[in-house]
Amino acid sequence: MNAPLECRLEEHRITSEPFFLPRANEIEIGLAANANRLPLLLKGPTGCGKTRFMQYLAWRLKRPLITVSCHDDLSTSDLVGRYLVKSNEAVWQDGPLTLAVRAGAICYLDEIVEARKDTTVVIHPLTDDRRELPVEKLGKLYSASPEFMLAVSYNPGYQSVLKDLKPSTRQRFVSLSFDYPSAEMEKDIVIRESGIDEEMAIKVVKLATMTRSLKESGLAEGASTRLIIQTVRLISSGIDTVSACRAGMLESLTDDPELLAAMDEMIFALF
Amino acid sequence: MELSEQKKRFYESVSPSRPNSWEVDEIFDLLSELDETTREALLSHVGAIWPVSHSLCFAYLANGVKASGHFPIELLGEWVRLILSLYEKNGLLGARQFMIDVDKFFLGPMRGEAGVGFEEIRARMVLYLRGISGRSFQFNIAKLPSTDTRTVFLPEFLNTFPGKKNNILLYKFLVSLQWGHVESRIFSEVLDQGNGVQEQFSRYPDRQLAIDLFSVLQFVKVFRRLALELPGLIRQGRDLCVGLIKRIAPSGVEKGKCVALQKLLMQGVRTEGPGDEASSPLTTGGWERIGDPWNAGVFDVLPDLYATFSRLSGSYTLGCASLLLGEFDFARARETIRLRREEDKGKFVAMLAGFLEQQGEQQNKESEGGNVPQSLQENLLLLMQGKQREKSSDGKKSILLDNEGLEVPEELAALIREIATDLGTLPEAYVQAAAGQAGRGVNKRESDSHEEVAGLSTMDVHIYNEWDYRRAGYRTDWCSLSEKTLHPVRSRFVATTLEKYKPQLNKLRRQFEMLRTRDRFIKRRRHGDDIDLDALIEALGDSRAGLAASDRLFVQLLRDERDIAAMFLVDMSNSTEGWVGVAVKEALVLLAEALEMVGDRYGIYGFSGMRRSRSELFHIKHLHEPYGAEVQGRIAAIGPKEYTRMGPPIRHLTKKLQETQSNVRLLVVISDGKPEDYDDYKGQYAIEDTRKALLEARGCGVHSFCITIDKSAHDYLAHMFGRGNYIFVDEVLSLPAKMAEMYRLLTS
Repeated sequence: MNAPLECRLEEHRITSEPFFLPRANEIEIGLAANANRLPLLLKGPTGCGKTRFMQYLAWRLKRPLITVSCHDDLSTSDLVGRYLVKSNEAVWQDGPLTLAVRAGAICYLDEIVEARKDTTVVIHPLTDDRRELPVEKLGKLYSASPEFMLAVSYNPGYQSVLKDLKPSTRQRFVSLSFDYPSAEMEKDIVIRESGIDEEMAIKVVKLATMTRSLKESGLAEGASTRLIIQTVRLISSGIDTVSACRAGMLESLTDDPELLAAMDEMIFALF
Repeated sequence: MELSEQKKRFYESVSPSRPNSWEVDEIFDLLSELDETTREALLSHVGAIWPVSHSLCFAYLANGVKASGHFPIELLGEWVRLILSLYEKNGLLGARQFMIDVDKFFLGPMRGEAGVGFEEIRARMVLYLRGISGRSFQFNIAKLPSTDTRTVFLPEFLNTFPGKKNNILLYKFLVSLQWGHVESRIFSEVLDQGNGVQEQFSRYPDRQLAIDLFSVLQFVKVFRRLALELPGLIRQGRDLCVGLIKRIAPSGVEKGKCVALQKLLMQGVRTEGPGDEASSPLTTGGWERIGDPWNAGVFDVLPDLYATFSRLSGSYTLGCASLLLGEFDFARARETIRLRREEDKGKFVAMLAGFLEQQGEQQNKESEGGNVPQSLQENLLLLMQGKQREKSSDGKKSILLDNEGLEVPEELAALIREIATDLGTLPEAYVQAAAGQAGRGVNKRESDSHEEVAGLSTMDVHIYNEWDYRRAGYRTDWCSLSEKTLHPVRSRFVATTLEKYKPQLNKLRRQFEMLRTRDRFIKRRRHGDDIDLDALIEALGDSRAGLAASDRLFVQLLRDERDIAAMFLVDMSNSTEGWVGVAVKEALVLLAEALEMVGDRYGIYGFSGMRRSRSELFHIKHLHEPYGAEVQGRIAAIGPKEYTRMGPPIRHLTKKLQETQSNVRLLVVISDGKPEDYDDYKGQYAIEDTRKALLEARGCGVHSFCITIDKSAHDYLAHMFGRGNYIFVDEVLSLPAKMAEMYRLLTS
């Protein structure tokens, strides 16, 4: 059983250094949390580098990173594992969480608020000093390997009251808050990720910053760093700037005609 | 048809009214000049206009005689439609103006030449300016563009250029220009100089020329700055500027000053690179002494420039170019800046004091000794030392307490940054004031606010604590809130609203119906519509492995259970009088209709009151009460009352919500600005108490969301309501639709 485990884990190993520009001391905190075997909670708006941070941390720690994107149909079995029938034989198949617990990998539950609350309680015994995972069907209690780390992420900006993290879950984590990087830093990230010239990068970053000021005026969320990169990639592929900004950034933010018109004015003012 | 026959028909169509016969005769005298078909066409619209307004109808006929010569008779219907809509919007005067100049107001727009009213593009400009500046400005109407650093004043209507597009662009350019003036810090520069500006201008014999030259220099300075910041805008706007500059005209025969002014402006807005300055008349008139006018300080260049110009002959009229130069009301700006700085200082002092006090308390707890003021003094000392370090590190602000790096709250740090950018440094006086207040502890106004708790009856009176941020603690049993019922009124308000929003209502109903009927396959059920393959495979595996297989092997199509209890708390303070109040009521009607569709439980309450002894909560609809004529009558009865003390009603409804059995409890507060009461419940105190009440609600598992109706988003909103927990609506008319939409987003 060990061989296939190793084999499946290798797929999750990150071999080359992912590009991550720290804003403050998040890397140190991440490493310290790991050293003290504490779970991590990453929060922040969409596309501001939470997942990239996890990739970087996994690379630094030389551990495999198993990412689970949560959704509202995610069941406990999907995380822990289940029996499967293989050629007339019932074979136990570890779920991603069990896999990580046993092999000492990092398990990253992305957008944890999307999962149903009864599913997320399964992580509770893993997040306190017990660090263990009961697997009912196997009748086993796995103690997490010292190298195991749990990380979850969520976006507090979503306004739906149905999607919030329960305090009993929340108060088990070391929390790192992510936000959009400063304009200077964001420019560097955009240049690094897309290879565009500096002048254009500055302008597109400025446009994104402008959209972020509209957050309380009806825009659910401003343009993320990811959207900026997406936009400049369109520009590098020869799409004209205005169309690229519209398609790559603005139209992805809202359907409201008034907001779109105002943001159009911003494009024309900038380019 | 004979004229007399037509007159008879006219009387018939306006009956049962009996217009003065001399008035009718006068009109028909005019009409007799027209041919019969045109006359007939004109009279055919009387039936539509007469019931709206009799005077409008006479004015229409009188003007129609002249107007009908300007356009083909087929366009008459369109002309009448515009007259009526203008009358409804601007009254008789507005409609008259429109009728008098057919070419400008009716035919011009049809040819694609049109001016644009600011109201038309206001919403777009508010968002645009918020986007480029990152903060909120207010807009107001004035003859010439200007700003007081908080409000941007713009002309009501622009038809400077023939095309509508260009006029919109001009508005956008002027908005950006005014923002540029604020950003150039000319106003704070002037403020820091003291009273010198007015004197500076009066020093010149020709004061107007000095002011104009100052405006030109400032305009060009901002223009060049914008060219770097918003290159797209400048590329488009440059032609407009050139067009406007060309309209500067000499007032007499002598053209010297006019030409020079034009040259100066043209040089300012030219593309780039040095122009042919040799040909400029300015080079010969001492221009070389000025050097590079665009990079030096405006006030440094002004004297030389004035001297150069005063030697030139003639005078000029600015005409439309005055839009570019705008107006500078330094006195007003100074007052605004002073107010803002005072507010900032107050906010800073309160925040820092609260923060220091908290730290002090923590330390005291740890050491079980020492008095607060003393430890605060130490903190202060350390803070002042720490300030030097703050400047060197560009990261987060941190202050040093007992050699322990302690992070200042995000908001305080942002405020410190703001003050430091404004004043160049964080004044020590501010910090000292904070320490003073922190040391004082209790509220200085407490002694004078011991008014009688009068008029209390024991029935339905609830006593609540109130949060005093200055002492970082509660004032126990401070407020009393009485629950009252609003007496329903019989009116057509609800019916009219439903009629008015009929199209939106249909859409809303459909959307909310979809919320209700959001179907979902529930897996792993004992019974169901289909086999759950995942469960089956798992059960198969389990049973082969020797485990008891689950019998939950089906999927079932189920409607999502919405177990939501929502409370709407409506501000009934005096300030909601007028449009705001009506919009809120309309919004409630629409929302109630939509919620009836989806079946969520909801309650509606209004609040107002005066002083801490008399907070009032008006019941409009209880959570379990059916929505019917009674409730509709109460919605119609909502009206402005007294003040806005937000804490007690929020606490009361939180308590009510806690008593309900619901998965999700939602409290929506609808208000129109800052909480404020007659006593000391205002400013920071009121904001902090409201914030605390909302935090308490959150602690009890009640989600809160606030809808604020205001002209602009204020910075305190995020602090008071919490990020992402509020929305501000500047366009009152869009409130009904937005409110229902918000509720839908919140609960789906």
